[in-house]
Amino acid sequence: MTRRAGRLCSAAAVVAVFAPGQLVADGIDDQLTFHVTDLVAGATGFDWNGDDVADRLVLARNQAGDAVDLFLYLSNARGDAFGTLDIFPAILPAAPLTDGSFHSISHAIVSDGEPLSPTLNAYGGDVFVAVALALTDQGWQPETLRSYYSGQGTANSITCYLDYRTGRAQLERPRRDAQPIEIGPVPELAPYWWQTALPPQCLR
Amino acid sequence: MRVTLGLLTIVAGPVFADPFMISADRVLGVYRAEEYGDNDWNGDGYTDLAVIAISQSGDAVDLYLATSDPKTAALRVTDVAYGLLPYDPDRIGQVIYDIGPGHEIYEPLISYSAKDGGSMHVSVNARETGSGVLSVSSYGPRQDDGTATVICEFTFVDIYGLEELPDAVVRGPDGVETRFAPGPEPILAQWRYTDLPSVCLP
Repeated sequence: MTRRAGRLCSAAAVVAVFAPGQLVADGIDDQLTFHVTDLVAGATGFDWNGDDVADRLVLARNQAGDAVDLFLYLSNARGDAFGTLDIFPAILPAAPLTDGSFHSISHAIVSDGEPLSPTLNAYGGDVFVAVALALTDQGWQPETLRSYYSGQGTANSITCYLDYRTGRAQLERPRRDAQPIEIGPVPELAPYWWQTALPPQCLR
Repeated sequence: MRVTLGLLTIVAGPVFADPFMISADRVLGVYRAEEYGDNDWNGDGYTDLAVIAISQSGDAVDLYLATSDPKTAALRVTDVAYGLLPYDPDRIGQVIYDIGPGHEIYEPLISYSAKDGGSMHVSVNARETGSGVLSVSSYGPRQDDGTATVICEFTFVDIYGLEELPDAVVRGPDGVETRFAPGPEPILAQWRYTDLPSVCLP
């Protein structure tokens, strides 16, 4: 389903009707609007589709306030305008602002000659969740997923790490051996996908 | 009745349109995360927000500043500065825009850097009301020896207490350097990059 986004619609209203990662725009004239204060992170200057032209990424708090949506612009082949826009609603959790909720975007070099991999980080309350994304032939997919839960103090913290590249995942607690956890196929970046991708014990 | 209300909604919509609604494709950068530093301009323990975006006219970069409510942490836009940097859609891919912490007090630093070595930086003195411009610098394309063709550096506020600022230096492509007093800290909402001497403009 490919659709052009309606003008002057709120982003939250628009994304609600799309499946994850749908292509919704084909040019810089397309309008998806949200309030400035809903923006939580942004990144420019990195080339994720490997055409030597910087792409753009924006994270904005959703209407419910419990997650952030991802807006990802890729440069077009000519390099003189921004091309496609992918939207991933509720790609990471958000905590109430009073809990110190904040988000950031970092970058890792996958390997020499390959595009950088954007990593989205979410902090809030006693939970940290980070996902590294990769642009594949099937579109954007999670490459790794990390979580850190410290609800009962650092001594009882729980760290989970899922690596979809190797198919390995483990859960770590202080003073205990790392415990392997089951990892399924690479999940689709559907809204609130991390809630099912991470075992319940990682987020309690 | 329903028709009347519908018409009122259509008519009233643009009148009451929120000036701080922004389209996704205009956003160039967001500065908020605590990991960059203590970007808490009103000192209430909650992070504040700075956003740079392409202007409505499409030829400049605007800055939005928002500070948190000490009780609820909710953000409220306090300042909008129009035209802090130039924006040229024909140079997408040649110019990268960024916003992040500047100096030691983590005030917003808005910048662009071009592949030819040219760059411009505006450092903002963010306050809850009436923010100002701390410093502005602009450099022309890099020459073969690595030096900039043009150097313009304006420091309006002596944030380090060095007692040798404020200061302004302009060195044109002819190599002639001019040093002078830059005047008082500009009011952010009133300053545009076009206020720079013409030799400093890209």
